Amino acid sequence: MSRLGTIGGLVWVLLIVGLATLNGSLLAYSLPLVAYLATAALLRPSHKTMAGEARLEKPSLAEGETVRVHGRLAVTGDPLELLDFSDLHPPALRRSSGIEAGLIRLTPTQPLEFDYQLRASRGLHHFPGIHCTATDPFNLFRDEWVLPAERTLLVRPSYSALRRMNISPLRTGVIAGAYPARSGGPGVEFFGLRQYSAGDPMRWVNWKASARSGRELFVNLFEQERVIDLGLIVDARAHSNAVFGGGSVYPYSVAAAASLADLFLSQGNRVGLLIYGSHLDWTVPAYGRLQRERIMSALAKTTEGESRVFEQIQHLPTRLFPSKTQLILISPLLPADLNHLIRLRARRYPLLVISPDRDQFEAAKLQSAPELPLARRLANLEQHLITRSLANAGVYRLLWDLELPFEHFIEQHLSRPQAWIRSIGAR
Amino acid sequence: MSRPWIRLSAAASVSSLAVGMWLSGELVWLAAVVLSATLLVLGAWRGRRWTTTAWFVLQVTVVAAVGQPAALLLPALLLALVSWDLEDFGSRLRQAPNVIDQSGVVRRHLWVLALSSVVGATLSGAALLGRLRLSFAAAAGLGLLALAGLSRLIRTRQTPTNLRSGT
Repeated sequence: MSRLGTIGGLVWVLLIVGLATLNGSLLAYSLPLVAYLATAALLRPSHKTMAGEARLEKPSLAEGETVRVHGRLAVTGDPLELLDFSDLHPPALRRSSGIEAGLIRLTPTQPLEFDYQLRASRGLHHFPGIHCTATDPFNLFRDEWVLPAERTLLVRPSYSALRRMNISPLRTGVIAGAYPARSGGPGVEFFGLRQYSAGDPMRWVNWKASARSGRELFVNLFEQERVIDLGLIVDARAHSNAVFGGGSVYPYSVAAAASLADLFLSQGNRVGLLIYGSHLDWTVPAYGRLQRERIMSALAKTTEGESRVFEQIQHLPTRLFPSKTQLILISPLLPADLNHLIRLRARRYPLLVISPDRDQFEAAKLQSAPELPLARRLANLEQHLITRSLANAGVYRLLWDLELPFEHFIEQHLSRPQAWIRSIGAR
Repeated sequence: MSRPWIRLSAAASVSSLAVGMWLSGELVWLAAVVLSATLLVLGAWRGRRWTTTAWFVLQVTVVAAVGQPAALLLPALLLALVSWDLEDFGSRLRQAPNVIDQSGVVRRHLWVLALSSVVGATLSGAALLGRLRLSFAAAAGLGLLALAGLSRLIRTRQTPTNLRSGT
């Protein structure tokens, strides 16, 4: 029974019985309770006199940073005797310091200013408002409402900056860039030799080759470097990212995609992003810093999901990418995806697959058991088989040990030209 | 709100009521008082908050049922009310993540509670001491008026307060 029900019921019974039995003392004993009830009724709260606001220091920030929230509550009429307030915020954001909730007596002369900091985690977070519960001093009458103070916070994924990544795409753009264009001209990397023509700079002459020939002059050719078109595809299917015992490798895929997008855009390339999960989230290819913001926003909002349509990777809409566009797929990959990727390669899409090593991530979380080494070996064999099958079709797959930071992983595998990297898309 | 004050007011209420019952020779009601006090102690020990309300209702029932001597029963009733109120207020303070200007909040609450208790005690004392001859119809009319007013007040305040947008 509520407190109001208790005290009201007692007063009611005393008055009824007192009147029915003509017992004045019962009526007299009810008076302290009536006074208590009347005091509470006189000081009862009303939300209509209250105003407030809360705002975020900045509308977007990177994961792991803190954001300051500042709020103000004020009352214009009678004081609110006891006000329980709580600034509602998504549970994914954890308070690091300050006051977000409390109990106060709010008077018109002393508005409340509160301030707190939240540690951001990736996502698009919505703040609905400030939850308020006001009561009279005796907690008999209660008024509860949510003060509208809606805010939205976009938290971009945190990522590590990459220095260089060597790939050799089939098709390049016309603007000078950082990727070899498979044609001779001005550049840095040695590409070949040709006979000297009138007008060639003397510093291009290859004196050793010319001396060996004896009669003719040869000049060095360099490989032109151009910008490229890049399609980043992030696998957001929940069942391909899920890990036994809870958890997911998806946050790693998102961070890797953010690193790659940042690198390629900073080099002047045209980058598009496709997130393939419960639905398709497509960011049209473009250049520059604005595109970087678009991609980071898309990555901030993305979550894993399931869909019957996109259960397998066969519905990857390749028409979104022009033919011969360099594709980078970030996915743990399922055995069922294998044939679809081979088919994609057959349509002349140079494809590089970066697979977060889900099995190792899972094994690190499991308790040691006698069966674990054998299970681990079988999983390794399966992964090895997938990698080999893809390699035979000209799709190169790199298995990313998640204990290794992404920049170190790229440094190890893709920082300098290797024979097989140069052959990506060559077939 | 410190618990000793709540316990002190509850103990004083029980004591004055028990002494009142003893002086009136109402041994059955004395047993009820002792029983309710035991319930209160056990409830406090086991952390059951409903026992405070149950104890308060029992105290008021005993006071209303016996009625005399008023010099002991009225303070018992007031102290039970104070104890019941302070117990709720204390638990609210304990549950709040932060209490802003706690001493000011507590001071204000005690002041309002004291004012309400003094007014209640004065009215009740005057009603117990003074006798006003009223016809049954006048008494019933006044009583019904009070009941109607009280009912209306409670009905108005007990309508469900869904989460409403503030201004």
